Amino acid sequence: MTIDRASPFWRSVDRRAMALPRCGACGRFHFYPRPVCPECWSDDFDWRPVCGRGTVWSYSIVRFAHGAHEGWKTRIPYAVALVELEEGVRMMGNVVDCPVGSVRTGMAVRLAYREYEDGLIPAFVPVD
Amino acid sequence: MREGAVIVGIGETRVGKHPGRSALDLQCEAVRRALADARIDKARVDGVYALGSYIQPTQLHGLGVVEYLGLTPRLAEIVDVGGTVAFIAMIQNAMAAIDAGRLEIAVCVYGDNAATHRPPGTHGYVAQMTTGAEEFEEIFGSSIVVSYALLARRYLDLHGLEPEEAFAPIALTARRHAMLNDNAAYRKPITVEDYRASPWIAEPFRRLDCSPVVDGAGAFVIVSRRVARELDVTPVSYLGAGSQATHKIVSLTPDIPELGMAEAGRRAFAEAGLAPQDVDLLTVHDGFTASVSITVEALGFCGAGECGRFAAEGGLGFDGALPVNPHGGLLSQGHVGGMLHVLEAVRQLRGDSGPRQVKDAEIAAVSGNGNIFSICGAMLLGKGLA
Repeated sequence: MTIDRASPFWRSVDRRAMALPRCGACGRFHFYPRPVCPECWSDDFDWRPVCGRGTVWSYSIVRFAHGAHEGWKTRIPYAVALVELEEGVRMMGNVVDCPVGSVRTGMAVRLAYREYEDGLIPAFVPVD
Repeated sequence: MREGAVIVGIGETRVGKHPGRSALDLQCEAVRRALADARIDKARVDGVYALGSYIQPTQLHGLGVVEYLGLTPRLAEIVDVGGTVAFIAMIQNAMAAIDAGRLEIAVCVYGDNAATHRPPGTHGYVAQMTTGAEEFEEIFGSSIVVSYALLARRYLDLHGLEPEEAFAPIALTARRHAMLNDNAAYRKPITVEDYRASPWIAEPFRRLDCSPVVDGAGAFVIVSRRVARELDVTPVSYLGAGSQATHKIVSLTPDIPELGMAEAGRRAFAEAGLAPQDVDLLTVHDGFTASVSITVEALGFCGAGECGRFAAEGGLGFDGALPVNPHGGLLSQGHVGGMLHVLEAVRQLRGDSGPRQVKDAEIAAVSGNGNIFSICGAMLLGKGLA
């Protein structure tokens, strides 16, 4: 697995200001970043930092890292969630800074960042 | 009238562990068995539809099958669509070629050696392949299992269900069936208590919610109606099929009610002129227990959220209202990509399934999904020449 740290997305994560491509033609955000807007095929993007507010759409507590990327095998149990961002896109991320058993569908979370051996990656923490 | 596609031969290897045997070797055994079953000489094969190994992928895999078996077909096509949908697509492709007069006898084959030939430290079917979006999913410790677990949790929360009620009866039904199939890898009886005691893998999945990979291969022979009439075998005919793709990675999945399975089912039933109540048995690509719930409900065999209760009442048993995967499925026969689901449907329609035979089986549905319900497919097969 290769992370393209030079891409606009990963550069924004490295600045702790995650940005997503917003289509200059139709105004929609999309994730993950693709060469053209999957809705209208425009390649005119405006990279906008997200507000960071989101809601857990679904989640899984991983207790046996079957097939997971190597570093995760030592981190079990961990929570993987699909989070709907206020910008209207859904993305995957870990829910951290809470007991894994407290993660629920519908839970309000906000964007955070965590440093691992691959570098900084986005994560989510519960909103109090 | 179109010449249509008629399945006249099936062949499968033993499932389990085949150390030292390549996927191509296993596939060639399945092809030999299928042609022997159809009593067709290899010199008459004019089409090959194959899916190569995901574990030890090779280029131009179809030509490998041709060369190993000394075949001389007009074409050897790779069909990599995803899950059981690949085998539905093989049938549709072969049928189109038969209808166009390009060929008359085709073999369709898949098999892999995922149990014994995965590189160390790897799991599942994507050992040496990449999905193209790793940096947006795998980086969070995700995997195929986690992807399905996310869909399964969404399913449970949509309906207010617990895995013990929604999924356990599906795991138990698969095992009960595998105990009636001497070519199944997992035949030890299990109870609800065994299910509860089964270790968590990725919640809401326990180990018994997940299908174990095995080595094995399956193949079937498709011919024109003209050729089928000259053979002394019980023919099984294609009646209709449909498929629908919506996404690739789970992050971009539609919500459960909007997955492509319902549309795939509507297309299949419309083409066949049939309805769910006409179906005598169903084979479902059951990589995970939740796959069965989502598929059975989307195809209209029971209401949304009801599959677990239906299964607990015995509804999915080979002797129930809707027999599902009488061979034990991926969950208990072992994961051979869903190819053996097509073979079991054919075997049941011929009346050759022995102790797990569904009574008076005349119409079978075959369904499946590729990747994470990224593409969904359904197909209807009927006993005899349609």
